[in-house]
Amino acid sequence: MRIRTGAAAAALAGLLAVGAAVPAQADSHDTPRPRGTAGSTVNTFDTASRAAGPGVGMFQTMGDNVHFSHTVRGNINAHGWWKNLRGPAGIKAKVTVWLQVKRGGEWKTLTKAAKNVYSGGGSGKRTAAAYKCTYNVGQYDFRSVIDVDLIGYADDSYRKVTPTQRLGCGL
Amino acid sequence: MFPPTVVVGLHGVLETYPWFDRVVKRDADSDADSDAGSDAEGSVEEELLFLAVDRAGSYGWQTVGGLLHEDGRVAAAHDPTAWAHEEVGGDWTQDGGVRRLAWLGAGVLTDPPRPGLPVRPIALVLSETLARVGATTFTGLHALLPLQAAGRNTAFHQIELAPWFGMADPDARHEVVVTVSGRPGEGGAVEDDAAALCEAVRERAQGAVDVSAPAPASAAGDGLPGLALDLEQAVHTQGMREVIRFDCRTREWSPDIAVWLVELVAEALLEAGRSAPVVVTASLARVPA
Repeated sequence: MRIRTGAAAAALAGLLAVGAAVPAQADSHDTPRPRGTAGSTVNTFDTASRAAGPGVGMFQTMGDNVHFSHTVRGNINAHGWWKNLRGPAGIKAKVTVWLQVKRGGEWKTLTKAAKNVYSGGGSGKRTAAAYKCTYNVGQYDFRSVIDVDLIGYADDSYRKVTPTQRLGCGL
Repeated sequence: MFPPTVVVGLHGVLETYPWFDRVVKRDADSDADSDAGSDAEGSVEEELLFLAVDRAGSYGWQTVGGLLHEDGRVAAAHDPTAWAHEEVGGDWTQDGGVRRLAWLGAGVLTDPPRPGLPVRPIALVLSETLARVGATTFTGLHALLPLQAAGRNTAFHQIELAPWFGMADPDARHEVVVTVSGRPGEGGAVEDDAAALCEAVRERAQGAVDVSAPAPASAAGDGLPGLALDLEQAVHTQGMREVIRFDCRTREWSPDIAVWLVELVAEALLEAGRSAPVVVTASLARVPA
């Protein structure tokens, strides 16, 4: 589902991108390189990554904290999306979400999801990673790591690490 | 059990604007590039109600995490500071019936504890979002309140809004039903609290609301035509049942005063030491024809 946008807004965004956009092969990540401390709720992001090429302007990587689904009983969810604030018009980004749990002092990926989406957020413009909890008793620390790769542009590879959430979701 | 989670829902009848279908359309290819399987989410309602998240941000209520990338560098990083947005949904079936038009679920931030729960700002951004897409006949509000996570608000008390709601047509009358539901055995509100709760709400309302004596609670939640609410079906309210019900008369009917009624009940329950999660509703006794 898309909300149609006015031609004037699209044209303006296009003008802002003219002369600055240099398409390049988008970065690809198979595994996250998150940083963070167990129980930490401070802002965290992965800084062990290269800077962007020219032309990507300004955008946001966004996500919600890992949480219990409101519609599917026994599932935990993490969502990631992006916002194009001052970048090439009309492009998509590959948004990858890793849903992780802390075991033995290390973060382990429970599930990974990726999707190519337009800027925005909302159900049609985001990536959802879901994990079905088991009936095993116990509370664990969960977090998500979110990566946004602008398709066709060499953006930076910083990733959002969401605050750790302690949830009673069996593994 | 769930961590502290607040859910606010607005109920009523929505008639989308005549131009709605010219502005909103299904985009078949938005899901076409997924390499993670299909996403069960994805209704028009869910998509558009997500605008409430941006609206909250415009008020300065940071509810999602983010990185601001600027010229190849991360210029800023954010995490939720007001509430932690989780999910939204709604039902805009165009059949003239009362529907749960919009709901938003969010994690309550407790480190450090915040005074009260973010019911009013969530109801505000939801009602503003509904106003973007159609004309709403509002008939009721429900709120899941994790009272155990609500810090005492020593800076503001609900009685302070009595003059606000006293500024209303003295000849207007709206019949409203208020209910409280909880899980038995959790230490929350019970039937025996009803009389004291009514008195506490009456005292705080300062005459802006005329509160009747408690009415028999309905285990099945019957007799609430202004709500399309199924506690058993919703994940976070499963196992809850109605324990308190009372009628009142107000001089206006709006999400604004419905939130106040809910907040009056929440404040009174907290003062009485009833801090388990509850669902509080305020809805019209009769739905407008």
